[in-house]
Amino acid sequence: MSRVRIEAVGMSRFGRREETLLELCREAIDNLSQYSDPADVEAVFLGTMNPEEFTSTSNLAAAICDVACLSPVPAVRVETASSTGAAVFHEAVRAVKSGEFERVLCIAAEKMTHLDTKRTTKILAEVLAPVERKYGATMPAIAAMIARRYMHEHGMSREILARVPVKNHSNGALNPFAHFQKQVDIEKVLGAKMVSDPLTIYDCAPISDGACCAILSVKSGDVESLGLGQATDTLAVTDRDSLTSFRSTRIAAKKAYESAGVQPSDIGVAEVHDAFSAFEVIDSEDLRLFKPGRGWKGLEKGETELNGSIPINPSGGLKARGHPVGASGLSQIVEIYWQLTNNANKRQVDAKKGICQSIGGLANNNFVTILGAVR
Amino acid sequence: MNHASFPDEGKVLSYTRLQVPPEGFNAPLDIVMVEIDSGPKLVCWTDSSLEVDQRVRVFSDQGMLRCIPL
Repeated sequence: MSRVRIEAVGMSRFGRREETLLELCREAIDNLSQYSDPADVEAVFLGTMNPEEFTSTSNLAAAICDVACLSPVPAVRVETASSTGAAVFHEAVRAVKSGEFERVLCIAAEKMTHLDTKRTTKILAEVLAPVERKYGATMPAIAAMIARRYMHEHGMSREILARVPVKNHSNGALNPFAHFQKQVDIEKVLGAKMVSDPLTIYDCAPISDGACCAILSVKSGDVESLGLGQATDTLAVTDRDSLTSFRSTRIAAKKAYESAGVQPSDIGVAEVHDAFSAFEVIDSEDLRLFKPGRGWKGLEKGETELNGSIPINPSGGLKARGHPVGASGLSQIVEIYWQLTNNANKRQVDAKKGICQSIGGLANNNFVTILGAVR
Repeated sequence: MNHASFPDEGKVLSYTRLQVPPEGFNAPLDIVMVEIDSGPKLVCWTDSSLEVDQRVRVFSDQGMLRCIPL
């Protein structure tokens, strides 16, 4: 079976949006429709993390077919917490590879900015282990402890860590779909409101609304899926061997590289899950783009900038592009598609192969996706 | 699941002061991850100022674990 291709992609602007979840999905599909007609897709795969709690709506796989006038096409919803957008892509690829469908539509979306922050934080914290929640830990608190441990183990300073949001905001400013399109500097990052020390609000991805989609096909498309990998890990971070590396990413990356027949040195561009600034550094090491403990050196030397040897998060990452939790994983794939087809405009880098890494929960259901330009 | 009995000794893996705690908890919340000498790692609270790798004693206080420097 030859590789599954991406025929077209579409996206809504990410940010604080007035529209409903289904309206955002429509916007993404309309964007895609400028390039390809979704009318004859044979199945729909929808990824959204928690519409039940965020929007009090359900039965969304059917609803999106109705709204997009695709009924009676079969449709399912996929969910793996914050890596849902990657999971739905992986399921759609498998469905096409199985031979049952030749052309499918994959959508990922979340609507979550309308609730107050405390409520949203509480819903998001449901992904954590009970023992962590018992002590009032939230995702930022666990991420802060991970960041502090990484800084201690590998000698990264707080100033260098701040380069992650500075870079990602700089890239986001070049991305018309990004939630935040303004640059920030290191002083702004360090002086901002503290969420959980040492992480300020600029070290934490925002709460955003947004949707994106892709048509996958056996025969047409300029980008192909070269390799996929996924792995789970323990719920509690304290049940793991290391605080400064995510085993689920490492296992997923190994599977993806092996099935793609690709080495880390072949990768020209990466989109990684920077829900928290320190995660971008850790992700870059878990993907073997840098040696363990050396990711921060690459950041310091500018190697992960747009003009660097391995640009990371040219889209602006979760930090600046935004983080509608169920959509982010697929929006990374959309960005790499644009990069590999020379459609990234001011963010354009030179790459023939790209990698995406998406984190579910606090790194216990991670996905790695390797894409390549079709020759 | 690992088990440990308390009070017990270990070292600080990491810590944070959470300024934006979830519903039901007051800010600031001082959360610590400790690695007990016998092996298991755990989450607890503290009233002390800590450093990474500092030796601490973990004890139970009204059903919740806390740590203090040795």
